[in-house]
Amino acid sequence: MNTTELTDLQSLLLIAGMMAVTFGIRFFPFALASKDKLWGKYQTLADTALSFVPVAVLTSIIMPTVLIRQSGIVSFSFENFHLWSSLVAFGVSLLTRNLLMTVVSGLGTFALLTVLFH
Amino acid sequence: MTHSLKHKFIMALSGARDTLPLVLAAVPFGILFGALCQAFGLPFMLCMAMSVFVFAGSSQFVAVNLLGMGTPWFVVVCATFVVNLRHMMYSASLMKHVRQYSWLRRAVMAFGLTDETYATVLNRLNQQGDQAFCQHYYLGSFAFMYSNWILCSGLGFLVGAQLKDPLGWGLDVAMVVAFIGIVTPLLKSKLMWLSAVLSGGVAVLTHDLPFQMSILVSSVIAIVIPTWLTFRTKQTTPVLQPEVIQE
Repeated sequence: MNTTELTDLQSLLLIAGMMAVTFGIRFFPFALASKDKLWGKYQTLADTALSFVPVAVLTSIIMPTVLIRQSGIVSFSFENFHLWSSLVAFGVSLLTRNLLMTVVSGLGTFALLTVLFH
Repeated sequence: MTHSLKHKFIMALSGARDTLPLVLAAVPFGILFGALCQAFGLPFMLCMAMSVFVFAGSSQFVAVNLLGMGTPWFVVVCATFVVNLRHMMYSASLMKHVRQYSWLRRAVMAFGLTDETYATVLNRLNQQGDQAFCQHYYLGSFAFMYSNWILCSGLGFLVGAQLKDPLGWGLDVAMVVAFIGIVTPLLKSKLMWLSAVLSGGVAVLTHDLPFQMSILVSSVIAIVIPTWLTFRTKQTTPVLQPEVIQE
């Protein structure tokens, strides 16, 4: 594999730059959090929008991981053990709302499928 | 005094414990990251510096792949910005919980705000209520993720070449099922379901976009549309109610 030779200065700028943007993104709202009224007259709007953040962001990480296993193709095949384990986990979570049971059942299904059919 | 110290320690331990499935899921990714750095001929120090100072898994993968193609450093920094932009939504949603803490404490928490720690902390708030926010629980989750990430990147660089296809171990399924276990109890209203369906659907349709922009695009759509619908349906009630009272 070929790669660019980074000079020491370029390496330093790369790490400093990556650190600055990543930390900046994560810290910016925290830095504003001291204000008494965070969102002023848009407080209800902000609260509503922010209440959707966990579901919106985490689902957008979950779904492609489950459905697109390789080479960018959506897979509903039996070989997609991630899909079946996730469906079991989803069912258990709907019934129990218990994170530990959800994780254990999902991992258990995956292990079982792997042992039996892989 | 000892009691409070013990309490802090217990809270940190439970934060770490609750992050365990996500830490396990991060192991193959950390190893793969280190192995990729080594395969692309990046120095060990650069690999470790990224994990120690940047600490953002998906952007580190994008960075190492771009560097492998000979991309200049400032382009890599811009790509990092785009990949990590979703974390601003995380920290915005935690704003009201961190305002009580000092700048330094907030900075430390911001540095550790990964997908995994956000999901873990959020799950505790959902299960036990807003007053259950605890900085030691947060820091315990962060410390476990952080040490594991540094360790696995180092390990991957040194011996990753011998471990063929760490993703093939299937440990990443732990992340998926843990996230499912955290998101599902949040689906308490039709609009939450809509948000999940929109987000998942758009993310799958747009997954080809570069720099993981599909996560950003689908999240924004899944936040804006349900929010708009909330206010469109609400509009009638608050406007009508005062008139009824006045009459």
